[in-house]
Amino acid sequence: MKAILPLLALLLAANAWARGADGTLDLIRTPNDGIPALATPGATFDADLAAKGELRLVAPDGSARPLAVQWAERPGKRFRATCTVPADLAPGGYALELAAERTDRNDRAVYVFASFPKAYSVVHLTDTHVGREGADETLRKLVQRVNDAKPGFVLITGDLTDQGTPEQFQLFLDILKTCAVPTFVCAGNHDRAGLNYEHFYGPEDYMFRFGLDGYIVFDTKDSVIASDLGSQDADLYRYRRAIRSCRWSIGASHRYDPGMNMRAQITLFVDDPLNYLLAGHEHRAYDGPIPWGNTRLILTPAAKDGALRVLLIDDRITVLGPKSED
Amino acid sequence: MFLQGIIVAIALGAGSPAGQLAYLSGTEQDDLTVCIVDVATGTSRRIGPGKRDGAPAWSPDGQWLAFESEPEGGKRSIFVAREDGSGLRALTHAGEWNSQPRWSSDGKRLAYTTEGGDAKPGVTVYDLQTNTETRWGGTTVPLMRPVWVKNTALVAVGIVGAPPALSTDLFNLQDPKTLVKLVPATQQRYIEWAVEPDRKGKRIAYETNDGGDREIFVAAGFIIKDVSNHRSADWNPVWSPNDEWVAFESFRSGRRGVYRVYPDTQRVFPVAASEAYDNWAPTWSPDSHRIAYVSDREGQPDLFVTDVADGTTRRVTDSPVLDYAPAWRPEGKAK
Repeated sequence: MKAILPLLALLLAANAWARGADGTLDLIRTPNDGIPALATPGATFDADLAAKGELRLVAPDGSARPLAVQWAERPGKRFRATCTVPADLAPGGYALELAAERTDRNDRAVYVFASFPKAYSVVHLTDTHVGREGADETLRKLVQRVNDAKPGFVLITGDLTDQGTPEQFQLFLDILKTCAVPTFVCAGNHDRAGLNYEHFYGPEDYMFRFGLDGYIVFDTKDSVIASDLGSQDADLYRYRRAIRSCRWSIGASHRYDPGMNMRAQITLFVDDPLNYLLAGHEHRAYDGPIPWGNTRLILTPAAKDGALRVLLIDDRITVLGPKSED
Repeated sequence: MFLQGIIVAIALGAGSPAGQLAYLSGTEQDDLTVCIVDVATGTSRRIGPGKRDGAPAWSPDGQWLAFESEPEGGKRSIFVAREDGSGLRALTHAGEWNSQPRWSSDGKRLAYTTEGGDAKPGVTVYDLQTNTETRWGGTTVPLMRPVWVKNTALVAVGIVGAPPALSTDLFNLQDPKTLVKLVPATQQRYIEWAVEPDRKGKRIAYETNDGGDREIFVAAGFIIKDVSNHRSADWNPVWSPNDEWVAFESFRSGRRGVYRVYPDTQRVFPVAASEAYDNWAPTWSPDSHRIAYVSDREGQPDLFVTDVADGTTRRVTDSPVLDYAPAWRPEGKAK
């Protein structure tokens, strides 16, 4: 038996699948299937890792391409790997695999585009509340609609789950696997059960670019004590500066409330206002200005009730979907 | 190796800063707890109930702490406790959400922001001798983040205008009913925030986007100066106890760092700044020689102290959890 155990361990390591046995993130924090990397052939993307090793992109057919990587150490025994996408890699979705002390793999983590289109669409889903009766089936149908519509990507702004349990996050992930385009998520108040959200998706705040446009995804939490404590304020400031030169700068958050973290409001809606903020939480439709003036707030009703919204993005933005209720 | 050990021991022993910091510690927002750490030894003890505790603030005599917390199923309340943790009690509030307590310089009153329900945010003053709450500044202008100007008056941030053209102004609250604009109104809409008067009540530091980006301004009567002028944002001014320097946060290194400025000359010096990690939330030692702050240089937020003269830096907390919001315990007596 003693002789078999190491063999078994080796076998298990070789077959280690995304997110470990319980579905939580393991050695690869980002990118993942809630915060994917978007890149063109020959371009780079960053990975946040808990170990150094060999990185490769794995296609849906199982074929793997090794990545050229530049490594940088980060505080907290973390590593930033700046990965170059092979110049001849075919467009599509890939898993990112890391061979280190054990093998880790994040499915749907990297999406390669031949080029980013100037005109594209974004689907906004929110308040999926997976775990509530019927919500998972409704989300499956919505994902099918998304796959038919073929948007550039999907933004899901929080309350992904109903109670934030690991089982509900796992179910949410299982449904998300059927989505054919990149999916970006943020946390909502219903997802806050300990650190479950962070264990399944990693950072609460991040930014990404899609061609000419910049996106900031963040969590305002639901309390003023979020405001002056942690690194969110600094992250939001840096992200805002990073996408300042973009054609459109668009925020996505679970909730907007005029009483939310004032520092975030100053950074994103006052000193250097975003063009749009996409949010949910209220389970109703709204399209109007944020009280500080220059940012347009788009609220989308809850996905658990079958709602989604589409933004057609070009030199102007057209918002399709449920009409404003006030 | 032996000699190296001696040198390290001398370096740690020499000039070990004395003092205590109140701060928040926890794994996440929900279990943040007010604690006190001894700066020299790193020994920490728990003070608050650990129910989303926030905003610890020392009384001017250093004997009491005020902070926010949320008892089970209750309101967000202001709590007070002695520095040894005894005498812990929640104040009785009319409003639902009470935050950011600040002590009057005689230690007899607390001012804080009250919000909740359909009421506009406003300033409440709690008299600790009579256990009574009084609303200051009326209900016309929503007011937030009050700070005392000595014992007699308050300065607060007021939200003015109407959506979608809101802005903020600074207001002087001289008594419960009188509300006066502190900075003269202009044609432009500026957003002023994080106001801090000096100990003598003669100068007021605050941040504003007047001038294009966010800067630290100091107002002394009718004279108002931009003291931090830089194209990156400058935030959260804090006066040194001797009223000579203002510590603040700035992004001029690329990341958020702690700096200090001498307002009369507008000369800025880095205290803790890096291109690789963030430093924030400065608080001065009572002798104005050291600044404690939060830094994530080791991967997660911990407390550090830097001597402003020679830059010597010491790590104060080294726990597996997150440490935030340091407040250095004063040594003086209430005035």
